[in-house]
Amino acid sequence: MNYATPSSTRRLHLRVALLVIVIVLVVSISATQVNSQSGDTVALSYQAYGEIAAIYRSGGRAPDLVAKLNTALEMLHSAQLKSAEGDDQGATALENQARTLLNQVIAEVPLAQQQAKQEVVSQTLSLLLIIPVTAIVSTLAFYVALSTFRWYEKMKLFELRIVEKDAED
Amino acid sequence: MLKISTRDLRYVAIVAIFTTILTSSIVYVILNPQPTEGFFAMDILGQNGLAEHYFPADDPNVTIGASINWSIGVYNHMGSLEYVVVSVKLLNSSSPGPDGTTGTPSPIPQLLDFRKVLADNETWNIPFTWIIENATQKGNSISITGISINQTEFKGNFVTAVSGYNYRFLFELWFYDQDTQNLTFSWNSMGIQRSVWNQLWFNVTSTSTK
Repeated sequence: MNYATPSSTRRLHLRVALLVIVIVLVVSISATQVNSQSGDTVALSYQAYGEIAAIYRSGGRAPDLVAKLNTALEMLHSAQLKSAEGDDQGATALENQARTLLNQVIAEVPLAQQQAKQEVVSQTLSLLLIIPVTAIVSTLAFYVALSTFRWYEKMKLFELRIVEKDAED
Repeated sequence: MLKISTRDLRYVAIVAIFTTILTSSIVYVILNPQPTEGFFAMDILGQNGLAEHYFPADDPNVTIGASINWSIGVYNHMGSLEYVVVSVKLLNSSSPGPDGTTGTPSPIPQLLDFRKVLADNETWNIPFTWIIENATQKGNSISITGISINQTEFKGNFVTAVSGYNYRFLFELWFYDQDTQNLTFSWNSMGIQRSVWNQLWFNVTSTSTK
């Protein structure tokens, strides 16, 4: 019969313990990586939102960028569901797609910001232009109406004088 | 044209000044609209898109495998673009819920969340179809151990209730606060703490499929 000595049993225990520690470490590191990746993508979505919100705060609009950001958020939601189903690979793939889209949104923000600024300036200018145009048009209309009234008064007076003259004759 | 008299010239000047002031005021109001009180609103509708028929045959005793269709509506009236998150939680009657007066959310971890960026005055409808896939009984308590939401199955020991009574789905509305750079559950409006959440109660009294 083959009996294990106490030292060999201890060595075996040590090996098993080491193996368990290595497995736990690998699993926890990969889980942390998945979690931190997910956290990074969510943080990126906040950054993208912040930059688009700045455009809206300045009076501009960027519906295309909002639509892209929402697509990325839908991808993140799908990744969340895949992760719940245990499909970590599918989840990571979706998160990577979402991250790419979010980076694209962030890259497009400066151009949208510029366009929004131009839109705001042209809108403000066209609104400001309404002030003198309305003032001039309404004043002119009033002047024409007043002149017509004065002319009518004068004509009436003239007619009165003719009638008076005819009566005198 | 007639020669304009000094008196008429005075009238014309008055009209010019008056129209300039009036138009300027209107333009100022258009360019600087008065801020209104901002708020979020959330509703849950039943299977017909109305605030009724939340459960099959209007029976809140949900059976294993029964599909329940709700629609969660979120409305943004904050006057700005908002990043909103609807956090879905599963609770029992003794689980701490959100506190509306202090604006504190429920400490129970969420099952899943839905995220979207909403423009001002935009409404978002989220289809929410759920099925209790599995429930286990231990003595007098029934635990929900499998639930499918929008065709995704979640497994785990989510919540336990005595005799399977008074479970609730809690929907909390969170939004991204750019000042604190964090998701926030409540906001201050005219000195009052406001938060938006909604919940629907149900029972799972049987652990077998009907």
